[in-house]
Amino acid sequence: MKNKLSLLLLLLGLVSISTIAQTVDFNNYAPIQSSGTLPDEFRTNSYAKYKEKEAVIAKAKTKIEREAKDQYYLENAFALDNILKDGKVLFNDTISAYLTAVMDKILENRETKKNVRVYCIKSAVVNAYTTGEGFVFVTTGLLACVRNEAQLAFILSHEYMHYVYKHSIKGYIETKKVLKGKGEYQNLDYDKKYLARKAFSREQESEADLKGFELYAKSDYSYEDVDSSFQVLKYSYLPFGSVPFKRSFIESNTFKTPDDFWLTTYADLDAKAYEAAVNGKVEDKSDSEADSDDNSSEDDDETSTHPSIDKRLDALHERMDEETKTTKKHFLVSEDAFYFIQKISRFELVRMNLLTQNYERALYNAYNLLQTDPQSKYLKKCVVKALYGISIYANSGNMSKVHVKQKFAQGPWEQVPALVNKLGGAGVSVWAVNYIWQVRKEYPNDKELKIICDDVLKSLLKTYSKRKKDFVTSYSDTAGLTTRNKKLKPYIRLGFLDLVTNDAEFKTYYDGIYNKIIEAKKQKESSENDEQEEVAAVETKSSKTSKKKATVTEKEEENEDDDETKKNNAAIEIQWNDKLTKGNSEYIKDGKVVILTPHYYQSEGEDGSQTILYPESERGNERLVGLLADVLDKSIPNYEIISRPTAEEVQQLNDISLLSDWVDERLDHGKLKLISVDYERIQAYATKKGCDNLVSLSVSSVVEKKDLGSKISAVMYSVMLFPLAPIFLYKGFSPAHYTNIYAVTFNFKKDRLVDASRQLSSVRSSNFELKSHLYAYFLNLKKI
Amino acid sequence: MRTLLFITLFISSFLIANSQVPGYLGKRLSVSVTELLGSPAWGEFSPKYGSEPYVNFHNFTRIAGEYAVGNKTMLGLSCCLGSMGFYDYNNDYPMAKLNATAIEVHTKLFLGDHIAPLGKYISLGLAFQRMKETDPLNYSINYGFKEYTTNFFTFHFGFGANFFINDFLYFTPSLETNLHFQDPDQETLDEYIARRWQVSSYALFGIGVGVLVF
Repeated sequence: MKNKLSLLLLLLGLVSISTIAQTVDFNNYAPIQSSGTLPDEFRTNSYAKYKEKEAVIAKAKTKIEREAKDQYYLENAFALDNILKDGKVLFNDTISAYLTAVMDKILENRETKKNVRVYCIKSAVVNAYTTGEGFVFVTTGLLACVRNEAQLAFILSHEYMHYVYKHSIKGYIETKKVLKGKGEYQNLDYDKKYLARKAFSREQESEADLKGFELYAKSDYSYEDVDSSFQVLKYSYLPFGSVPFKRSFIESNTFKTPDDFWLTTYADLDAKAYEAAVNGKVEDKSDSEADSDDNSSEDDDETSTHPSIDKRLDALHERMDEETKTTKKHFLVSEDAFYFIQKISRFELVRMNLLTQNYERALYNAYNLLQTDPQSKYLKKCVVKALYGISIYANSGNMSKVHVKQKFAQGPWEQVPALVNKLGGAGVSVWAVNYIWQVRKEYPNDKELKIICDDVLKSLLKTYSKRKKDFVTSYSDTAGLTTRNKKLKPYIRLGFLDLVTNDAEFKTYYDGIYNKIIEAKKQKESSENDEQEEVAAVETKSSKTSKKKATVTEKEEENEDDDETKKNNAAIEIQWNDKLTKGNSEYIKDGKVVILTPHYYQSEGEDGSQTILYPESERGNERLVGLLADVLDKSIPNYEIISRPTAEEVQQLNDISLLSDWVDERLDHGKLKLISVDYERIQAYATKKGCDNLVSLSVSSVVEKKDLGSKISAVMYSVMLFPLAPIFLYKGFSPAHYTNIYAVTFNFKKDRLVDASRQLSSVRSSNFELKSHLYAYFLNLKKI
Repeated sequence: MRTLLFITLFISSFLIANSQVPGYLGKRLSVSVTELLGSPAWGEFSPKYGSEPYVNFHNFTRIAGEYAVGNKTMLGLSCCLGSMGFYDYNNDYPMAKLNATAIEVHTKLFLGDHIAPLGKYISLGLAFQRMKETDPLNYSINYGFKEYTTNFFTFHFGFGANFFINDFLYFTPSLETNLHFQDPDQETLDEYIARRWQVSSYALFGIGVGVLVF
């Protein structure tokens, strides 16, 4: 009966998967969201989750174990809530439904099945992990890389065994023992303690491998996929696909790149070489190739938490030989469903690449997906956004922040960073405008494409007009193009010629932007000249001073490029306003303000060893929301506080996900002017809610206890200067209190960071002090 | 009059220059009532007029209006009313009575990271005092005076803290001193009376209750 019910549920699940599959429009793909009812674990607060474990904690045999368990469950409950409630975990969605179906397939008759919950988490990292409570999280990054269901099933088996064998809590307790030097860890120095912790972690991984394999072997999934699932992990640093990046994708009749921009051979796939490059170790290729076979199984980094993949495989191969397998299947749940969720994950991955400024990877991944979905507007726009990001960062002198060094890329994907490196900011910008214009012609009403195209072209022309390289030239003078400024590469100089010649609309568009830039440049020059004349008039009294000024001016011109670069580099760094009375020039005026998930943290301890007080922090968070409401009523009455949902507010969780991504991305950009990846969705959100600005705010309350040295000093001074003893004793023994408020404000319409303020105050975090400081912050922001 | 005009202009200039002052949730004006407990003034005071009888513990009432003109600064105007008696402790008779009225302009500077009007502060002020000494029972006739009225200025320095009870009410404990510099050998009798008052105000402990008005 039970089996029949399971089968029915599974069938229903598959029906829902196939139904959703039909509804997803990959051409106009919209990021996946959670839906339906909020699961119980999302509603319970962290402290309640911790209190549920009281009985388990009480069973601990020793004091150190009890303390460690108590701390573990406390930290774990709060860490889990942070994961569950930040909007990145999907529920009631196609992917999580499929993952659950695969997990059910592995755990068919197991009693513990009901304790395990599998969720997909939106992250570009290739990973899966398990918590002590039986939550298995699989990232979209991993789902984008696995090749079939069997690989996924093995990974889930491995993760399940972490839960069954309580690796999480055992590891935590062991770490505590190591740090306290108890039992076998007595008298170990720091390095040995560190290695002991890692060794314990490796043991757990090996156990999860073997036990996971035993579980996996009981299913009908094929053995060969065990090996290949390790290959997925081994090469997780590579993009999911490996199609050659074709020259025809970027070139036009006049935007032609030199042959040496195109690699004829790619670096071999070599995880060791990649690791060496990441660690900054130069590896002699010939040696490594010669030794690779001999050393592969011995190479087990003792500082790693995981055994080497070769070692793990060797251990499993021994076990595989003992088992006999008759059926070999790559798919048991559904092949279609697997490829469907893989496709969704890959589409998601491109967006996440863009959000984290991995533009080159996003470009390659989108290009890869375009091979099978050439009509997808979503993918084309991803390519556009990737080129946009590279162009803006490169033209502002921040290429290094987004560029992948060629030594980190292997296989066909190596072509993209190599090409970007050769093209440079100008080359990529010319390519970007050419590509964006094609996409714009296809979707003429797309506002986002217009903004991006304008931004890239302006950025290109402005940058080159500032650098005085005469790139800013009118395409009306086509004859002049071939003769003028031959220092510039032809693909830059003539990059738009094809479009200008064959597309009157582009010519008008280009000339419009060009004329604006020239006009602005002339105005700037004339105002600079006026200023210089004024300065010269004042300084004619002293020719010596004038000469000095002239020298300075020459120097300034020479250093113009450097200054511009420095200025732009500074634009990425967030400039925090520390004073209440001083703020940025941009302020929120009237209009609705959204306060995104205010956070409150309370910590206590001596200087340098602060411990977060989780229950107090959670209570403080609720208090903070109440105080904010009081403060905002009196400062910015038109507001909405978006806090983590506790009831049926699934859409609120989706909104939190969208807004958090936006905030993170905008903080990464600093003051750099480029629109965000989710520009359209953000604008739609702002319009729907009628809001103008968003404030992301966190408060930390720190109680710093005085160390022994301070206390002894206080007593000594009290003895020496007896009349002042109360003061010395108070200062020496009473803890110091700090309240720190960090707040960043963004404008939806401008799609920009407009203010970043922090108030570091030596006051207690009482309700009144918090209200007082928060009110001051909002008042300053509003600039009445 | 000129002093009052100066004070008004001084406050107005602050108000204009610091239009973006948070106060407490936007409330910048507060009114408070403080009871100040003065120290007993003992000992010989005047080499010129001879030794004095003891002075009892005494208290004054201060009503103050204060306005936050900056994140760290409040300006205030206060009125202080008080009286004290001089006793001959040997006979336990009141010998004379001093009635004082003072008008003071003061500023409170908030310490550390507190934002006015919340938290610890130091206060500085200048007070104009009018004092009347009476001898209702004519016991002090031997000292050569009956009723005198005198005016003088004192400087005030204090330390205190505003603790909020809710968003409207606060209480404020404080310690303060009032200084009035005078050479005892050169002082007139009026000045001497003023100094007697003054000495009794060297150390004052205050407890006040305030209301945030707007």
